Amino acid sequence: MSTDATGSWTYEEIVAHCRRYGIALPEPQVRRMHELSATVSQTGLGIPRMPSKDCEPALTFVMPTE
Amino acid sequence: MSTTELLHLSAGEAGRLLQARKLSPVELAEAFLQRIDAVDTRVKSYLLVMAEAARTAARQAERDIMAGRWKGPLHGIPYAVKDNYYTRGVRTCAGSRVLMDFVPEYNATAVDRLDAAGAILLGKLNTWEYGTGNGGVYFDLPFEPACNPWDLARFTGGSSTGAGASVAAGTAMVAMGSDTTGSVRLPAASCGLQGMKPTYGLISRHGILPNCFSMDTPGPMTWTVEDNAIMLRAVAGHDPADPASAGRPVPDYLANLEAGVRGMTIGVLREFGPESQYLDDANRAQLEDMAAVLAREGARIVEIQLPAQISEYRRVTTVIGHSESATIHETDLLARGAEMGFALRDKLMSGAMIRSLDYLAAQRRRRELAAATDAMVCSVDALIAPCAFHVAPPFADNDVLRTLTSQNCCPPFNVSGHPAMTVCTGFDADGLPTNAQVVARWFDEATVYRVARAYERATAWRDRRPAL
Repeated sequence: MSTDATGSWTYEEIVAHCRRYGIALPEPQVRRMHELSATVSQTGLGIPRMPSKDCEPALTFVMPTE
Repeated sequence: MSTTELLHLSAGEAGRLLQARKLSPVELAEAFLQRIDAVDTRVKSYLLVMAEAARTAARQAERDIMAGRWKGPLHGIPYAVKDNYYTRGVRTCAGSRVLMDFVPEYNATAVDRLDAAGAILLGKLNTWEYGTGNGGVYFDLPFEPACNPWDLARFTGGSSTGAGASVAAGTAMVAMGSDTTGSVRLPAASCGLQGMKPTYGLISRHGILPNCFSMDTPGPMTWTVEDNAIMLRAVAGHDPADPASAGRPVPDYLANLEAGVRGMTIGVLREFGPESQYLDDANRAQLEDMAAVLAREGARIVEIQLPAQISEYRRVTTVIGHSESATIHETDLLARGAEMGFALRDKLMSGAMIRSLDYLAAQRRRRELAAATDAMVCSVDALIAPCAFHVAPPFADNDVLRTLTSQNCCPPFNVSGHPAMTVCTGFDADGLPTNAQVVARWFDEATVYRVARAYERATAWRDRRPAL
């Protein structure tokens, strides 16, 4: 599988994404979402992947101790 | 003592004989290694047998015990671990081609603690790939799946397939598995064992191939409740190497093991929404019998209800579990996804498509469900509930086989983190084990054991072994 990732979305992909998740926005905002999409994707892709499977996320759920 | 008598000793019984020097660790280890040679080509409980290392460890255990250096009830006891537990210098492939060359440089903390207790590691047990899957068995891995010792044409339950098979078949005296959404309890149920998923954070996850950071729970799988308590006492406790490790002191799980249930209030979960229809007749009948047995032993039995449908818990575990698995194994999926089995690849591809919005929504819903479930658990001293809804299904029909994993009452206690232990509740008309689970408050594994032991003592299910 290729590891090249551009983060780019086509406008049609944004429309499909909105439809898929029930995101009902007026058309100008969908176009704005398209403008934002590359930055969002690249921001996520730019987060370094941890070198080891043992590197854990910051926890939001732990068992209460009292 | 004959080989059969040796193999049918519980770890508790064997430990007492070893301490009294009436049994040799070398003799005991050899009995299990010979058992592996005799049956494991059919059962397939092991991916890797560590025969020479086990013999060496057994000889050392014998020297230590004879010299008065007895380490405790696990000294000289043969055990095995699911092959997602790292073992220093020993291949840990978790059933996968992708990890076939992986040799860890350190042990899992649980392995270190069992070794420190003097237990004898026999080998690495069969598992679904990476200790996870989609509920199906596809025969596309480098190893054949483990077979159920009660009927070799049937599934063991997963993902701790080899751990379930090994204790039932007598190829290990005790075993360690891991449970994210049922992977200790379902094989324990299908193989007629006592399998504990303890409170999340009680046993260190360090050195176990991660599947889901926020739900993975290692757990012992044993023939008897006492054996389970002995194992848990050895492996439980804070580990700074595990960020989710609880800092609570570990009680003596054996102290009140025989206290019985007189005066306790025990809840019975009989109905749980639309999924109640899937509980098969044999398991339902034995759940009722279990309630009746506990009532005869002096418990007050009350009806309880889950605060939400099982499907709601399952949706939370799916979003969290699939997302975290995809995150953990992203590199492997991108670089070597074609080498993975269908079930693992299925899960990781699904997880890669889950949005952060949905993942965080699931974690927020998890907190809400955990609190509501805790309120239910705290309304009684302990509760009994169905675990696996079906007896071990045949390999022949993968759609039927998948229902073992898709229809059960495991997810509520993975979401909430409460201790939940599968116990054998008897056998159906075909001689296949039935099951239920005992649940108690957070970090109250002692009560789980007390209830499970009272039931075990009042029934004769532990006298029956697979006719391998």
